[in-house]
Parts: sequence; C-alpha cells; structure tokens
Amino acid sequence: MTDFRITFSKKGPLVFISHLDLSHTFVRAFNRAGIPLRYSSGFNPHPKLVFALPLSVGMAGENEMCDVGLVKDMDAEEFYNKISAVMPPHLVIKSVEPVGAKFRNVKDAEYIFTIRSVSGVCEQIKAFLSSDDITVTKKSKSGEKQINIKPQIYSFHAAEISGDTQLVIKADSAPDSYLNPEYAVRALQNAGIIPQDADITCTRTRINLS
Amino acid sequence: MTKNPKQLAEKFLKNVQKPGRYTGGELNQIIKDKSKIKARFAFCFPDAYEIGMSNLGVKILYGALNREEDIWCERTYTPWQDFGDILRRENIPLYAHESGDALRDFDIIGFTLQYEMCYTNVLYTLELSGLPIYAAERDDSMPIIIGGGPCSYNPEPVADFFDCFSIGEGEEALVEFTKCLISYKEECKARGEKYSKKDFLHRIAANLKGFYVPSMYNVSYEGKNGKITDISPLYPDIPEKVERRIISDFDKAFFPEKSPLPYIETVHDRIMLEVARGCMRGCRFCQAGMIYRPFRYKAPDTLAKQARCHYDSTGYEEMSLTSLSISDYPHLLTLVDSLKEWTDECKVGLSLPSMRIDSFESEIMKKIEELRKSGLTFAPEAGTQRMRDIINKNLTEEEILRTCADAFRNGRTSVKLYFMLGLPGETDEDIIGIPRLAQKIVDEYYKNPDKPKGRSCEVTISVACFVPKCDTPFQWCGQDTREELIRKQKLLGQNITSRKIRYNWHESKVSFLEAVFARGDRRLSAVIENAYKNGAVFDGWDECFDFDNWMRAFDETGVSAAFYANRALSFDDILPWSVIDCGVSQSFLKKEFEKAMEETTTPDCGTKCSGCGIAKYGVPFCTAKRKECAE
Repeated sequence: MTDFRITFSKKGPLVFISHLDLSHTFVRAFNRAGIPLRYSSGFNPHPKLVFALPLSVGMAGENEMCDVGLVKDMDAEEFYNKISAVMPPHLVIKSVEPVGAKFRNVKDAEYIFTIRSVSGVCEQIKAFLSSDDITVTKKSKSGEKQINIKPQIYSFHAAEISGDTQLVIKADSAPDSYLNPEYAVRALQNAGIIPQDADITCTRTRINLS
Repeated sequence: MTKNPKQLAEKFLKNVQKPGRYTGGELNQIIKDKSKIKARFAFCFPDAYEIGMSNLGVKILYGALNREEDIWCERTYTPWQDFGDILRRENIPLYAHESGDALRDFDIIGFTLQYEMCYTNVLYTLELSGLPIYAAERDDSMPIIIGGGPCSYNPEPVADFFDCFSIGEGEEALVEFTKCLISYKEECKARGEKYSKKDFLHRIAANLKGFYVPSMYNVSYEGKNGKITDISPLYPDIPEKVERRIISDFDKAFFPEKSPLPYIETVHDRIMLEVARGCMRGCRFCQAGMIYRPFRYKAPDTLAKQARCHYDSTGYEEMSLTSLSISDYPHLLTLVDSLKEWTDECKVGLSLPSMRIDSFESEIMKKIEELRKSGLTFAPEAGTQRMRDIINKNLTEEEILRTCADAFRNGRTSVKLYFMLGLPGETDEDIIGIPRLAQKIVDEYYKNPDKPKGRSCEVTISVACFVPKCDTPFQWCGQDTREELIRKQKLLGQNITSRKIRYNWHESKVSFLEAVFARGDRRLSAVIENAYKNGAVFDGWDECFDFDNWMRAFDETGVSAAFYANRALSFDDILPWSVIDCGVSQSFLKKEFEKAMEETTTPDCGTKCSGCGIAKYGVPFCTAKRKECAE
C-alpha cells in the first residue's frame, strides 16, 4: 500500500474538461498503466483519488496536485515512469512524491491572467485592486450576495508583455474561504478597465499548502 | 501565422455548454502530416459529440480509413446550437477536430445516418461548413458529401442533399471509394483536365459495388402527389440495383486497436466489444434484423485479444459485449470466462445488452452480475401470443414468466419490458394483453418464497409506437394514425391494475415523422429544407423537437405526411428504396408478410435456413445451414 502525491499540468483542450471528467481521465490512465488503485469499500466502490483544489472549467493548471492510493508497494520512480508513458497529451505528470501535508491545509493559490491585445491598463488595474473595497455580486443557490473580495486577494501584479496585459493574482484558497479569482477580473471588466469582450485566458501556477 | 477555424473559435469556448465537445485532442486521436496526404476525409456524426463519440461504427471506419497512409480521416459532430450560433456570428466555418481545418476544404465529408431525426442536423452541419445544402448547388471545388448507415437503405428523403451513399458495411468500401477519388484526381492532373465531380460520381456509380449516386437516377410520379411510376438509371452503364457491401470474413474484419478516448462523458462511455454482426432471429418489424444479415461472429480467442487491446489503449472501467442478440453467440460462456480472467482483477465491469428471454442463461447472468447489478431489461414487444407470432418474436409467455421468476429468485426486484403499439393486425385484446402480462410478472414476484422482506417489486413497461421500416416484411404496412395510437396508449393505461407497474410511452409525434421518412421519397427534401429553415434542428432531442414546425413544413410545401406514414402499400407499388438491394430478397419479405397475416412463425436462421437470399454472399454460416437444411 503506497500513497503518492502527483503534481501535474493540465493545458490545451483539457482546460475545458470538468473536475469529474479529469478524475475519470486519471483513473483510465492508471488502468492503462496497470497501476492497481485502492478502491473505497462499500456498495459502489470507487478509486481513492483526491485533488488539492478543483480547477474551474476554462482554466489551465501548471502545478496541480492529486493524491492517489495504490493497493501494492511501488517506488516513486517506477510509478512516475509507468504513468507518464500513458498520459494523454496536455496532461503531464511533473513529479511524484510521498503524500505530505493534507489538502485541507491548502492556503492560497497563484494565477496568471493573460488579457490578449489589451495594453495601457496596468496602472488602472493596480489602482482598482489596491482599493480596500472590491465588492462583487456572487450568485449562489440562496440568491445574489454583495461581497467584498479584497481580504481574499493576498497579492497582485500587472505587467504588459508584448502587447498583452498580464495580471498575476494570489488568492485565498482555504477550504472555507476560497476565492475564484475570476471575480476580480470580472470586477475589472465591470469597472470598464478591461473590455467586456476581451480574450482572457487563465493559468493557475501554484497551490500553496500550510 | 493565420489561425485555423478551431483556433479562431477557441476564445468563445468558455461561453458554451460542454466546451469539451469542440476541442479534439483526445488520447488516440490520429494526427498526420498533411504534406503526405492525398485525400482528406471528414467523418461526421450528425448529432452532439457525446452521442457521436459513442458510436462503434465511427470508431471502426475512422481506424480503417486512417490505416491508409495517404488518407487522413478526421472527426466532426454537429455543434450544439449555442456554439453553432457563435460560429455563424463570428463567421467561423465548422472544422474537423484533429487538424482544426475547415470541413469545406476536405475532399470528402461522410455523414453516418443512424436515425431519421438527424436529417436537419446534416443540413445544419453543411450550412455551418459554408456549403450549399443541395448537391446540385455544390461545385467541383467543394467536398463530396457521402452518406451511410442504416438510413441509407432508404436514402430518398435526403437524396437531393447528398452526392453519394455507401450502402452496407463501410470498412472496405469507404477505403476503396477514397482510393478511387485519389486516382481519379491524379488521372485528371496527368491528362491536364479539370477534375469533374459529376464524371467521378458517374464512374463510381457504374463501377464500384455498394455506391448509390442519386443524381444518376430519374424518379417519375403519378401527378405531383401521387405514387412513384418509374425509377430508372439515366445512363446505360448505371446499374438498376445497388448491391449492399458486407464483410464476409468477420473474424478477420478490421478492428481498431486504438480509438479516440473522450475526455468528457459520453453516452456509451465504455469498451464496446463487437461480438457478432447481424441477427438470426427475423423479427418482422425489425430493420436491423434484416439489413445487417447474415449472422456472423468472431472467435472467442479473437475477441479476448481485442478486448485486452481495447482496455490497454483506453483504460475503460466498463465493457459491453455488443451484438443485436448477444445470447445467440454460441461461445458466450467461453468468452465471458476468458474475459473474467483479467476483468475482475482490473475492476472492469462486463455488461450484456439485448438479452433474449428464451436463451437467458442464469449461469451467465450470475457471472456478469457480480460487480454491478443493473436493471434487467427484456423486449417481448407484444402482449399476446397471437401478436408475438405475427411479429415472429418466437417467445412464449411461459418463457417470459420463467425468466422473470429466475431474476426475482436471484434477488432482483425490478424488471423493465419493452413493447410496441400499433403493430400490423393488432386488436384491442392484444393491447390489453400488455398490462395483463405485466401483472402476471408482478404475481410471479409474490410467488417467490425467498423475496426480500419489506421490498416490493417494480415492473416497468415501456411502450413505443410501431414504425414501418424499409426492407422489413412490414414495409408495406401503414402506421396507425396518431389519433389511433393515442387511443391505444390510453386503453393500455386504463387496463393497468397494479401500482407495481410503471408505464412509459413514446410520444407518437416523433414516431409519425420517423414513419414518414422511413418510407419516404425524394419529394420530402423540400419538407426537410423548409422545417430546417424554420428552425428545426436536433429533432432527436425532446427539448429541441418542434412538431408544429414540421407540420407547417408539410403544409407549406404541399406534401402530405399521411401519404407516407399511414398509407398501406401494395406488392405492385414501386418502393422508393427499390434501387437499393439490401441482400434480403423482396420475395422473402413478401412471403414473411403473408405468413405474418396468417399468424405463423418462421424459425431463426440457426434452426433452419428460411431462404432470405443473403446466402448469395457465401458467408460460411449460411452455406453450412443451407447444406444442412438441404440434407
């Protein structure tokens, strides 16, 4: 019985698949590699696969994390080699290591937004995000709520790179106070700083555990 | 660098439902070097991605075409309307998933026509590709549009939209067709002549077996809305009948070792192991039972290897053994045993579709059941013995009850049964027979002394409307009118006596349209065009289907829907699909129709050869049976 923590990247067309689909994709990769997964007991057994933090549909991930339990002993290198050989394109295993801190200790995450062909807005972005009050409308099952997301934005940076604007955000990702940083970008769009129809892509670059 | 249509569309994907439908990039997709390709083939399943990706035929043909070095076959599906609207608005042409290149730049676009209700999706797909919907309006610079699949046995309602149809099994035929196009284009080049689509199609129609080119035939009618008076080839070298293609050595038939593995969940998200092709039963309403004849199957060793190959290339956690009637496979137990040598350990669940009640073997079911218990479904199709004899179901009430009793003894508490209403020769007594049979099954449950304590049973009866299909013994029968079908549906419901019986019925509107198209002719293209222009698309989806729009289309084009759906044909009538020879002879179909009216049955091919005509293909199963019967 071994448990591994996999760090992987998810890009290209995989950006558009949901968390559940990603989970299936992993299980099938383990099956192809002949890596016997540990299944939960119960009437409808399912493999033990735990992700650090689900990624929104549409976002790429550079260093995503997933813990997996095996039914037999295997060393990390063998595991890495076997699984890397069968991964689909755009889903790349970056490293395999023993499971460390639990995912409930996720603290924050870092994101890069690339706003294509938009320039000259960095100062405005910085000024807007520096304000103490960034109130956005969050929709939930119980209706709409006005929330100030500023306390959940830990740091940010905006820069212009070859005609595009890049916005780096570090946001709260703790289990009970997670912020989807797209709220900040939408606030910038609603404030007229970034055009509504801008071509924006996002990559989560890191997930930090405490 | 200029962006291809897929790259242009990418930034809009986050605004659509299920963007994974449009990205391609799956594991096992085939990417080729365009500079080495002589023909590009776009294979389109004219429905949503998750339906199309579930189709076994597409997987096989994709593999077979791509086995050829100079052919590149790519996939495409009909975009859901949210994405279709974006493509239209942004003026981005529909593309193939692998390369992202526009479909209109391909040499061939192939549509598989699996059901009549996909016809408007074909038009939608063509339009989103920037192509005229009518074949006559597409010039030589545009791809050849070819159709195939079960609806091509009567392609007439869509004949004007297609350049050509591939009749029968395509593994070999489509490769030959594409190779012919390559050599024809090379020939033109060598001679310094311009490529002519018409000339190429003429050659195909005249020389390549299994290809129907509708523009090479003239159809005459008795007045504008009357019967067909004549169908004849326009040129002397065009055959009067187009013979269907089949694979005679099925065990060695092409098998795709790797098929694209979808990232998003599809309808049949599992390994589909094609155990057998064709059905030897001969149910008289069933088109699949006729057009996929003869019955052929693979050796257990072949299947064991192919199953493992599928698993190693996909990692699927489920495998379905597919066949029209899996329990007719003579080596089923051997196969299941050999699969279970590794599937249990790998946690791969096995499932068997389409079990017949009579040959239901509880030994097999027990083996299959271990991992996951799914509902038990059967198709008696009719409620009385008389009716089951008319349709040649060859199934007795005792067999049905015994099987259900077995299932209940094995711990099941629910059973689902499929029936049809509006079958030829049906009386009210036959309809009332359906809930009566269901009640007997409920009684069977309570007879079981070991039934689980405190749990009741549930018997679901799911009732479809009979649709007369071409190339079946019932092809001459008219469909009941909608009023009559609705009356019958009510009558059935009124006769349900137990709350343990759940009753579902199919909306007669869709069945009515299916009947129109199943036996329709070329005059329906105007109706399809009209309905499409008024918004009909994804008609197979309840949330999109608009019956009133279709009825308006019939009104506006002056075409009578009832003429096609409800009219009984006579043996003397010229059938719109008479150019297509599906292999089963018309004289056999007539004989079967007459036997149906006499309420007599015909044994299955495994028991006795009934001389349907398919033996002319020389498949060993038929040859052996014929010899046996002659002795």
